[in-house]
Amino acid sequence: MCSSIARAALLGSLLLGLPAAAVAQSDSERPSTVTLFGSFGLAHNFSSFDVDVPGLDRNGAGGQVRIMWQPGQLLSAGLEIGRTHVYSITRPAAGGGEVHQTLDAVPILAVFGMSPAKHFTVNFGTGFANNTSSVTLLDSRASSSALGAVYMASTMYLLPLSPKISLGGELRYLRLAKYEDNTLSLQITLAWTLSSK
Amino acid sequence: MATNRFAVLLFAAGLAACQSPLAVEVPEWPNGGGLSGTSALTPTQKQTLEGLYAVEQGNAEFGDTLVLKWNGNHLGIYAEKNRAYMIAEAGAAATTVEIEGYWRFAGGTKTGLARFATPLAGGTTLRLTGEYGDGSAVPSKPLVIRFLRPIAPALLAKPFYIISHHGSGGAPEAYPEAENSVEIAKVIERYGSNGIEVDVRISKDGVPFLYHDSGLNWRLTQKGGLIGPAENYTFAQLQAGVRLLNGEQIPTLAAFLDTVVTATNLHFIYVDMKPSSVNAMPAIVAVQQAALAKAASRGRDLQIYLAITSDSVFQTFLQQPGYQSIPTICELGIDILQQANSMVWSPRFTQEIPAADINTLHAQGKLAITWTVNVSNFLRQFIDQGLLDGILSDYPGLVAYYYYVQ
Repeated sequence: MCSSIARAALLGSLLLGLPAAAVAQSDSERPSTVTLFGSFGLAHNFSSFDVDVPGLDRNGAGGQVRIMWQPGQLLSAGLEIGRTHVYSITRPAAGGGEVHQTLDAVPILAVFGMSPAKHFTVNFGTGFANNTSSVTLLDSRASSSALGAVYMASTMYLLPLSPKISLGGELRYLRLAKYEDNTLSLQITLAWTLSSK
Repeated sequence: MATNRFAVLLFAAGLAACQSPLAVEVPEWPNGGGLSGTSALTPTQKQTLEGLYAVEQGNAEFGDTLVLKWNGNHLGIYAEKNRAYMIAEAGAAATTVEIEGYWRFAGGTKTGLARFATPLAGGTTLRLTGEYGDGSAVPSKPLVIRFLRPIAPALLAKPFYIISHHGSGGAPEAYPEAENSVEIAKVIERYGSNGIEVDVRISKDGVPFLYHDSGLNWRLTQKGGLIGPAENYTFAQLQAGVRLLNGEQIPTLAAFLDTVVTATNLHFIYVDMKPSSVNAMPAIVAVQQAALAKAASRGRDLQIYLAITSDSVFQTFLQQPGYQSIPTICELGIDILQQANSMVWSPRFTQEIPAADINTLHAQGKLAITWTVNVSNFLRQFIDQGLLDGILSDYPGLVAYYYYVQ
């Protein structure tokens, strides 16, 4: 369980880090922009489990769409929605055959970003995720969902391909607090500047 | 720049602080302990040990008075201070009675091994001399208790139900077996209970099963299992995809009650009907009736009550054929209890529980209990009043202490 101290520390780093970086580079001349980011890549779950879980697969795919508004300052803000595979388990069922179960999350986040260096962007986000587990046993399949808090931190490196389009990579940490899962993703990111004033 | 570095360090500290809850383990004696060479105590020897004791050494941890009470082959030792208890076994050596087991502060994490010895021949004053320790370390701190008097015979003769709140022990991980499991039913008497409350829900395919929370979660199940409302899965899927905290499987109500009948001496089963029970109440009633019939065929003194916990449960209950002959507990008002012909009234302990109402119920041959009392002052108050027939608690050892110390 992520303690309240941990959450306070994460929030503190967000509150201290972003304004400090913004102040440090507020003399930059930046246009006000609205940018759409699309990312997709591999996700790895590095959470600890209570016991050894036979048949556990920690790897999967994840992606998200994020729209960010940068109002001429270093700080930007926006919204993000995505889908992340959390883990899957396949093991023999007691009566023969296999049982296969998965946990996936659909996070919806408020995101704050900053660009401490050219081409680099750092993002922090918090919000809720719809966590869904599914189980398939012989011919029967069922799923069930629950909402929980989610926290995100990522860093992107983007190279401009044209005045409006950039391509790069993103390293992304996601914590699904309710079910104590932590994932690290390596993604390809495409950015499209929708407007620039 | 310094602020940025501090923020990075703070962020790293935040990640590092995310860790699993503290696991509590029952300490075990090295090499199986020292009772292997002893013989079983005679009923008279066991009876002699039961009673109230003054603590002569060890007061800092266990207070001034202890209650010793046998539950089958296990000796329960209950204290008021720190809600401490010990679960022990005993055997007769050449010249002494040897007692050993472990102690624990209920609801906390402090635990350790403990042992006593007393001369087999007895004497004018029965004194148990021993040691206790921390964790799995061999005990070395002195613990000496002196017999004061037996438990009052009137208390042993009168049925008083000490009902464990779904076998939680104050927290899901407080006992070595998970709550709402077949496994906890087998051992819950050791902790001072003669009854247990369990929570019944209905699976997607109509099977009554035991689980407390409205959703599957890591508070009650091992990480890696299914999530969301348990009712969304068939029972086979729950069995395949979920393990309770210590690896146990979620049980059916039928399997749980069968264990109670065949493998315990419990007297009182409180089946809390959760909201989804309205989806298959006939199935729950059928399981209850089958277990009661099996208990009767074995000559067991066992009451199994279905708890009417909400208006929707009550309305569904009224639709059951012959509902007035179905043994129930009513958590609602006295008027509803009379309509349902419930045998037991079980108001929440924070409600007003008028003595006149209890006396009226007693005159009708009915019982009155209350839930869920964990605070010492309230426990003492209810027991001193002497009106209730039982108490539901997360700390059955503490209830046992207050009851038997009277």
